[in-house]
Amino acid sequence: MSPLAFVISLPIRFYRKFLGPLLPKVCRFHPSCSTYAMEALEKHGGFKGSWLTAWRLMRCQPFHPGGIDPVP
Amino acid sequence: MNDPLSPQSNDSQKRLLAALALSFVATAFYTFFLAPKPPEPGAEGADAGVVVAAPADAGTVAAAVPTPGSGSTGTPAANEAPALPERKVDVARQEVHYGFTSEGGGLTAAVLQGSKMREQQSLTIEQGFQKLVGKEIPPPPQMNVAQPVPGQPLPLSVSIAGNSPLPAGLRYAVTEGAGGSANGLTFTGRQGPWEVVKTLQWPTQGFELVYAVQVRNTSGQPQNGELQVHYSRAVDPNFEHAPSFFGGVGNLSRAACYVDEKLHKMSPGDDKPKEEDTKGELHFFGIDQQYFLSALYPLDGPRAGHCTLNASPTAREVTASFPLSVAAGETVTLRFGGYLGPKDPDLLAVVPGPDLRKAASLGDTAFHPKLEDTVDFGIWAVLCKVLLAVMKFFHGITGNWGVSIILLTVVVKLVLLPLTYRSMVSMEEVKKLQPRMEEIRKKHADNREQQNLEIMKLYQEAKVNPLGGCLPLLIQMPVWIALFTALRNSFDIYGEPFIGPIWRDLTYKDPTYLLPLALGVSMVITQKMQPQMMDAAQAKMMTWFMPIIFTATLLQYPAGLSLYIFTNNLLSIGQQYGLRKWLDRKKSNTGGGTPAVVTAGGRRK
Repeated sequence: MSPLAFVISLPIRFYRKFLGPLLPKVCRFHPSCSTYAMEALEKHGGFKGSWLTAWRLMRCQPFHPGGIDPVP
Repeated sequence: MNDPLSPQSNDSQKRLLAALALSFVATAFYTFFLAPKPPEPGAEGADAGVVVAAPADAGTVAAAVPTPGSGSTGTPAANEAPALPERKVDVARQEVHYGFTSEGGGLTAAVLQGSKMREQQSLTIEQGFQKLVGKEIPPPPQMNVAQPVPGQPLPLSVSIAGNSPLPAGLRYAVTEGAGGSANGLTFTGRQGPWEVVKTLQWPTQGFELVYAVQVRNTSGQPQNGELQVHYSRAVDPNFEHAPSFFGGVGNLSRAACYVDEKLHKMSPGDDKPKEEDTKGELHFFGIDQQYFLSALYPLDGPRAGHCTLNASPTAREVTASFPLSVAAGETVTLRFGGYLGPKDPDLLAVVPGPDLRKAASLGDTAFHPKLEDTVDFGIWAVLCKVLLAVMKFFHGITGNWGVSIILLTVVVKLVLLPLTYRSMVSMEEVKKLQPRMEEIRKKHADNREQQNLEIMKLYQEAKVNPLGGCLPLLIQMPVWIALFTALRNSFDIYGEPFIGPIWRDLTYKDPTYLLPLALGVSMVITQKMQPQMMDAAQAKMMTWFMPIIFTATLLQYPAGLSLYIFTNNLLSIGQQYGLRKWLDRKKSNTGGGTPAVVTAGGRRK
């Protein structure tokens, strides 16, 4: 993972480790947005990974059907 | 009213909880990584000592001469006229009462008038409840933006450093009136080769003033050096709130100087800005409190010089130094504009105002120092301004900032209503898939991942999705952070009463903690009302964990934020209930058909 992607992933890691387990599942996709974000950062680096994550979050609302949506 | 086995009824509640959790994380992240650090406890004595013991550049000059108020005023320099007693002059304009002294020719007080122009009241729980039951608690003192620091040059005093120094504490002759205007004062002082005439002038209204410093070289040789303008302000630590994890961004005063295109600020515990950074074109300098500002700026445009900032727990100091070179018998004049008042964005944006431009005979295109930059919304500036604009609109109608916050909550809820509505419709659809979902759950009971994947496939097949999504819960977060930032920086809302005897300032914590407690209780109740789909341990966690964390966090945060989230909780309950009723009625009206083409408007509790 690139250094930039690593820095960006820190709050996501925190969320996944400490908060995700406490909260109910709301994500309309599989894999969930946080898993998707980690994979996207891993695979595409800080810039494209962040963009993919942002785009995914924008779609994760009731006007998008959701469903299975792996990282490209 | 709800089928305890259906997953849908508690969905919006889950999202609310998740949103609370996320905003908690965001706040924690902000406090740990972004917020300015509070001063170390115990550093107080050490810091104060450093300041007094090391008066740096100004001090080398001031040390030779009695400082104002040091009690040794009866021993003027040998070449001076017979000693006169110190002369104190108090002058009042409409919104400010000034105090001046002949020792240094500076301000000893600048007390802002009016019920809002006070220090921020900090009540104990006991006082809060006493006030709630009707006991009178005296209001905090009026805001004095020019409280002098003992042993330091007075605000507005000047000194000259160089071969022929002039001390900041020099005795001046004071005459009332300046430049043909009654609203002003003239100070005249002499020492060595220098004759210094300082004139202050102000329009009757407002918080602005003109400050002209004339320096004449009465000797036969050219004189060179540095002209230093001081603004030191004593700070009562009782009225300061350092930022902290459970205390928010606080309420601090900072020594400030805008150099070139950057505002440098220093509060206790901060590192001193680098010397080369505070050297350049000075736009303005002064003391920047959270809601009030005292600043001077070169009236005729940015001027080359450098700033020295200092901050101790009991004092903030700024000295602006400008190169000075005066030929024999010549006079050099530096003109400054001053703003000593509240950080009202409308007033700051027009400095120098029309009255001041007239008094100083400036054109319409006069230099505008960016004093409004001292209202620091940080990275949330755009959203803060949008929220404030919406609230200001409602304030114009209702005249109450608390009601404006409630209406803002309603607006945000309305904006998000289509999302809520869509997901509720979707949840109805999913009821039909219940048997097949059970099948999948049984089949992959030991594999959560596979289970999720299969269910997701099922949803995709049936073209439904009962989950609300991550975006709706993320959308509220920036609103909360921006509202928090706006509250802590907006003079408009500062000191504005909401209702009752205790909610008198929504920008500061609720002294009785009733609002954050009500918020926690409302969260627990809504949670308890919902049927739980999770196992008992997780359900218990969900019911208690988030409300407790949230109440604990919001205890010390501005009451306006608690008010927003509390209102939001109530609206969520109402909305959930109302939408469900409506969908049920819709279903019975259309004989069980799907409410596919209904507009999502107007139905809200």
